[in-house]
Amino acid sequence: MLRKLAVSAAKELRLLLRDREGLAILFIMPIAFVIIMSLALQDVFRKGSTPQFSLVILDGDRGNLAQAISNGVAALPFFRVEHRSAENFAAAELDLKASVLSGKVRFALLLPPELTARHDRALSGAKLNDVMSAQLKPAIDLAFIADPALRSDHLALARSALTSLISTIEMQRVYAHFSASAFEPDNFRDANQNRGWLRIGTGQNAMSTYLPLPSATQQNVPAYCLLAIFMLVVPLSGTFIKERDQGSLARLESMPVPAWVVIGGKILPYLAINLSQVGVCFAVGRFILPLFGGEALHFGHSLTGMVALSLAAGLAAIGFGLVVALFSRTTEQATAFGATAVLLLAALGGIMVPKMLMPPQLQVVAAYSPIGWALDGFLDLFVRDAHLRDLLPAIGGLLAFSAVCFAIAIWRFSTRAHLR
Amino acid sequence: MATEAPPIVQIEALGKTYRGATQPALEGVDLTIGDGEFFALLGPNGAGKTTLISILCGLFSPTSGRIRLRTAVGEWLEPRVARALIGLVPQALAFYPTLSVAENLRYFAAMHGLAGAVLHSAVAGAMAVGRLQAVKDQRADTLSGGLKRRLNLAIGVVHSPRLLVLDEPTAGVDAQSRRFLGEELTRLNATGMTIIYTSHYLDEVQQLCKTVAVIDQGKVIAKGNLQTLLQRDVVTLSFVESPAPSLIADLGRIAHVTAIQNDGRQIALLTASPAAALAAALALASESGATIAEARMGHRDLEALFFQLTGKALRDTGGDRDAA
Repeated sequence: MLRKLAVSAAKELRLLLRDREGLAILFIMPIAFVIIMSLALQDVFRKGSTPQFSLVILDGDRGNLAQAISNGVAALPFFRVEHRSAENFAAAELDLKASVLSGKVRFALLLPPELTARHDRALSGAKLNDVMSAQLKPAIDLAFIADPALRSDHLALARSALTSLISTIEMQRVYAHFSASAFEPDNFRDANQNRGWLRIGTGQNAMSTYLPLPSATQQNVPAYCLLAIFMLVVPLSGTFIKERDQGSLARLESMPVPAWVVIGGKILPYLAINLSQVGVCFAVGRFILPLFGGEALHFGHSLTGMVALSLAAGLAAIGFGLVVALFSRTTEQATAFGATAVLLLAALGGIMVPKMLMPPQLQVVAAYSPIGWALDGFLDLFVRDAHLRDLLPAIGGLLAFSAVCFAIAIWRFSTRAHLR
Repeated sequence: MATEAPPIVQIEALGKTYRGATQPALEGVDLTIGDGEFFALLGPNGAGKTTLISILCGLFSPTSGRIRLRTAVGEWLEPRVARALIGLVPQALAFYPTLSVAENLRYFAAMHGLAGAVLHSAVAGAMAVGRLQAVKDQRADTLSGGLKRRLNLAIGVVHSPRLLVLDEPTAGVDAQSRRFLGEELTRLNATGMTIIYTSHYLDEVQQLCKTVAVIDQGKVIAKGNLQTLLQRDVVTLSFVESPAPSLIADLGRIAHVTAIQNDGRQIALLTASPAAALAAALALASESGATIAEARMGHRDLEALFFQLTGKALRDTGGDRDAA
């Protein structure tokens, strides 16, 4: 039976290779998208709109300064704030850093134990003139951690808002402490002027390794490569329906050939095409884009992870294509439904618009897009230098999706409903 | 149906109703096909022929009844496990247009489980059946219509099946190709291969097949030896001039004549006693002074029998789902 599978796969590959126009589209389309979108959106990824981000405040202090900061941050329009207080601040800090590095949380602001007490002690020993004129020592550091996959302008915006807020809160405390009429807290609202003791981290200092911020290249190369991979739904369902209409599928089913051989014979060559698409797109991102002034694609450090993720994405795309083919009556139906569904899943998955820019309600729906799982995986790989084990949730989700699709396809094929 | 040869196909009370259909595509079909027979399955469009063939080839399951196929060692098998016994030549050109003739044959031979020298020999044999050697490296979509039909046949016989099922194998091909295919099928039948054949070319069927079954609206309405069927149940009279209405009325009153078909100068009397009816009809014609050009027991040809059985009215073929 394995020989039949190999012969089927070879036949399918031969059919694919002889469809030169179709094959050219499968490769030229993603290459064009990768180059055009990466270059066109370079500036957009540097500066852009102001979405809402998740931010966790880890409160190890529980004093009135921490309370004031928490309330102030919650009032800012840019953040969806979650307030956590921790008995074991160090352990909670580690957990939170991991969540931010994995992209589960976009920002974290750490309010260390004794924050209010330390600030009160600093205030009691200070003179008004010193406080108004300069940064004071010893500084009280508030660690601020940002998801490395965030756009640089979003990070700058968030940090600026927090700096301004904390500066204002600190000066209000100074005002309350000295109760001097000459003191006007509004003079200290300039976000770029750090006065007082509180220092907020840059958002990047917490990262111990080299973690470049995502660029248009890192977003768009995997994004449009994945779009091309899933667009394989169209030629795959097309050839399947053509085979059915020509009668060769019925002839094949009158032969001693099990359903899994017919289905498997299609999976293998299309998977090879998928991997070739990934190879070509990533090579373009790495070597061709810089020639046009774009940023070269940073591959990360896990080749195994990249191959495993590509295979899982390819299997998910092929599974989806088979289901579309087996439930469509005509090529037109398969093409229209398949392409629309892929575009919808791609849009939801953050291919055209990154998920972090979507409104929160849409982000909940977006979490169900397999294309989004794959894109998140590639962003983890390229931006966060993830390893294979970090990608397992994405790979597992894609494999589970493809397994469900293959099971449906084999069941449908066995019922012969597609032949009627 | 009584056949001299041992049966290779046994169809018992077979019924098929497609999901959502109001009428069954097949109903109570009983047929026995003898080993080595050249069997024609006839019927108008939508009669249920393709459904019957599809069930026979294991593509669909019946709703009721069963089909069994007998192996060379006498074992009876259901169609889905007897696929190796069957070669299907569908009405459609069921091969891959962008593969060459040889690639198509090799692929389908491999799907039958053939490999190595056996595969090469089977492909060469099938190519000889279709006389395709000269075009073996040519892409299938560049072949002429006749060659495509020959390739379609060659794929069906590449594994030397015991039973070859052909669904309108000569549709849309020229007279030469039809003749070639007919000769080739006769030759294959002579080697012992059982052939089930559907066609709308009734002259072709009459020439090739010894046994027929006529199916209409999902039911078998006639079956048996073709010559026997042609001769039974009818008397055909061809007059020099159209007979007078009084003579036609008298002919209709002959004992055991159940119906009369008036086709101008040709009158057909349906009867269970054709010899007696013929004698009575000749006497009546002589009395009335009408001149008979030709009188015969039985039908002029298969087409006449077919029309007698199925009528001349056009069929609504829009509902293929009901009776494909």
